[in-house]
Amino acid sequence: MSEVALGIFLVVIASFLGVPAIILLGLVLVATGAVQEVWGRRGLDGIEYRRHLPSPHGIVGDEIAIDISVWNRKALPLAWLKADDEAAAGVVVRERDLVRAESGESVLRNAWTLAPYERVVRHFHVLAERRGVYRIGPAQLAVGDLLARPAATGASPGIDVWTVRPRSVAVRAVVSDQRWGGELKARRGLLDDPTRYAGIRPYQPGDPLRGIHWRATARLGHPVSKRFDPARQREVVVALDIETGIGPAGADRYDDELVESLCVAAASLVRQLRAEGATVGLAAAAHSEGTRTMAYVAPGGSEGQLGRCLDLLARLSSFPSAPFERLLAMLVRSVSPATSLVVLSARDPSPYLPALRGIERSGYPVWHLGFGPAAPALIARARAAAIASSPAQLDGPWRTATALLVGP
Amino acid sequence: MNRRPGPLVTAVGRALDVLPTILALIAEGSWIAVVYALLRGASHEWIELGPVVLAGFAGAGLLIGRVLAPRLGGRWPAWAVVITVLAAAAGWLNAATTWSALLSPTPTAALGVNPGGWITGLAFLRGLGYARPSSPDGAVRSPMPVGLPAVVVSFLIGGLIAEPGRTVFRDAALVSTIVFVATATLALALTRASTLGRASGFDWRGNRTWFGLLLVFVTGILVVAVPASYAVGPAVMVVIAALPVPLFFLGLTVGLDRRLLRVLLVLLAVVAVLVVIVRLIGPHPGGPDAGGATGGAAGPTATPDWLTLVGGVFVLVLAAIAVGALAAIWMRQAPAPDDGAVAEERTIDHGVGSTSRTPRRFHLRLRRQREPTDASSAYLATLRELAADPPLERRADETPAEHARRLRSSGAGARFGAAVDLLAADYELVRFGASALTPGEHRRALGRWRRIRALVHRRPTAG
Repeated sequence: MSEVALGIFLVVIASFLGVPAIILLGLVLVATGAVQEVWGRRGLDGIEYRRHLPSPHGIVGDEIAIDISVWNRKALPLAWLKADDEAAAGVVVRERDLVRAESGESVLRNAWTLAPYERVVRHFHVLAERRGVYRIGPAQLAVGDLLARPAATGASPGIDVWTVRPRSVAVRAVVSDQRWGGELKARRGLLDDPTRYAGIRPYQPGDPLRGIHWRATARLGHPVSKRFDPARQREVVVALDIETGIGPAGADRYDDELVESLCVAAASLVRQLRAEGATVGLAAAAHSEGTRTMAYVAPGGSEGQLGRCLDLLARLSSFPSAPFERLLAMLVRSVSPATSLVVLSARDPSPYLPALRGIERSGYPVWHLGFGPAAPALIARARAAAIASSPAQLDGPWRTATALLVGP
Repeated sequence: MNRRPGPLVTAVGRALDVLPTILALIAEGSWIAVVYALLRGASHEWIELGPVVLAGFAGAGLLIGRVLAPRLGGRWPAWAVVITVLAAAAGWLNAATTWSALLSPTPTAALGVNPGGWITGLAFLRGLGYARPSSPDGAVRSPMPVGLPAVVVSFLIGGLIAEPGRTVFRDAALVSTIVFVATATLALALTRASTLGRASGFDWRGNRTWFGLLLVFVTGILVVAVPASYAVGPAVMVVIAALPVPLFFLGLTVGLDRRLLRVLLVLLAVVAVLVVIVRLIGPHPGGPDAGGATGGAAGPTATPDWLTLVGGVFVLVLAAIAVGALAAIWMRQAPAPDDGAVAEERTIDHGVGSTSRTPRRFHLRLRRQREPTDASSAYLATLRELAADPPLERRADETPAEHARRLRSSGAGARFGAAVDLLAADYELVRFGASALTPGEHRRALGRWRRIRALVHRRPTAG
């Protein structure tokens, strides 16, 4: 409006002085001011701004496709339309560098020139360089008028979220007779599922009478029992000790490379256990989303269980939220009897060895995996406390490793 | 579009790249020409330099700045001063009066001759400003902030010049002002769009509608504003003169409080002072200064030379049409914008089921403008052509290849031969295979689209 006011002022003054050239300049200013007013009122009308994320998940090293489309659904052309998408820390776009907005936020800046009814789709790729949960949006929109001056601003409130899961690599046991479930006798055997009839077998002393297949026994002339598929497979919980021994629990000091390597190792173990048919869960004394201090996915055998565990690892803070012993105590209360506990740790186990011994005495098979460069010393301490322990090591840096070697 | 631009296309692209700068230099030359006309008019001398020459000096400043500044490094500022003085001296020496004074027995008197000639130094200096690299904050260099006040002040001072210098000044300065308004407005818009486009990845050359509308706006406003500038002055005077009376009665109706009364009195006082000033400093119709061909310098009722005015407007419209046509041709030939590695798709989408109130004839013209330019858009254009006939239309569940296969095997689409298949293959290569097609492949695809369009629109023969 200041331009219109200046134009009118010039017209009035020039009319007094009788200078048509200044009247001309005044009229031009009035017209350009009017143009800005029109685009200011109508510029953002009919603008449809969208982001499309085909998959909300990725794995470290992936390139996650993200399409940004803008549609000018009106007859007014736009010299430019600028969109600043707020991007969370760590978001890296392959095709474009993020810029720092006036507000201090990192933004993905895009601008288009749009003809009437023109729709433009740009295909970007977000690099999944580290595990985590990333966000992009909301977007601040601005349009230019016919003379390409800023005319109007607005916002597109949508937020897109994606999770970058840690890598998982093949697990190679250095000794072939490696055990997951434990050598100790379980207090309870596998339960038969009465809906899963699988045939008959010769009667063995101790079989319940209701399990005898009477008709088959009469037909065959010797006692036979019904056979059912087990109702529950092996149940394992991977307890990840996120603490790297640099600072106390709750302190945000950590060895970043070691934490990421631990996450890769944990993801690999979970994937391997699922591949072997185990019912698997994951726990860590670290922050994930929300205010809970313990991150826990209860054991499950569903299709989505691996994804849930990997998502938990993606969201996991790099520093511990509570002492690991507290996590172990919580697990004992949460998991079913006979559940195997695989403890993955890269620090001195002495503080939590008493808790592990107590768990084992309660009937939960425990297997300690000493991880990292100090693994030999770690497993020596664990074994000295009569805890089964093995070294576990990635065969390279966590970004490029191809296997998790689990030794004797 | 994945085509390799030829040398001609590259040259056209570069020409469009420098268009905003050229327009800005002409605008610089134009406002400096107004100041020059003021200086020459004040000394009752002929106008020897016009906007074009002064724009040339500004252009020289730009070129020399771009070439020498990087080479001279820290010594450049001193050299810039020297070269600017030389440029100013060149303008000063351009007048015959300067040479005659120099060759006279008292050559030092020449320094007082042709003061307006030194203004070429200003043009050169303004041109140097455009040689600087772009500002990191995206600020746009424009002749408007300096030029507009300079033109206004020049005309205000120009009113004080005695005749015939005033008429000489106004005649020359009006043309320069019109050129300034047109080029400065266009330059500012294009420079803003270019600057933002470079930083954010778009190219204004892709938006012909906007550029066309911009041209129409600038031309239209000049076509309307130039004659109106002569008619508005008297009308405004009448309105302002008549305004206090209705305001007074309005005040009586709604009740005049002390504050309103004070405002009204202040307004009246301001108007009275303005009128007195105008009477004192303005030209007097019957005075000794009055006269001149236009006589127009004689107050608010100045009358223009209408024949010149109409002719000027006609030339202006012709120039705008020529510029628009040239720009349209250049924009069609210019290479596609290169936005790093970002893949981009552009379509005109009126939305599903949208009803347009645009007349049919206008529709047809728009459709011609949206002719495909590459293989990918040729396939999409083909789909639009086929959509008019339900058996030929691509179904939602069909891939491009499946659709083409159905057409080839069906009776209705057999007449297209393998054209649709080949277009679909090109489209899939570009869209999904991220493959670059050769210019020849694009050309052949456009030929297939034309053939299909002709077949679709061919009327069935009788019998």
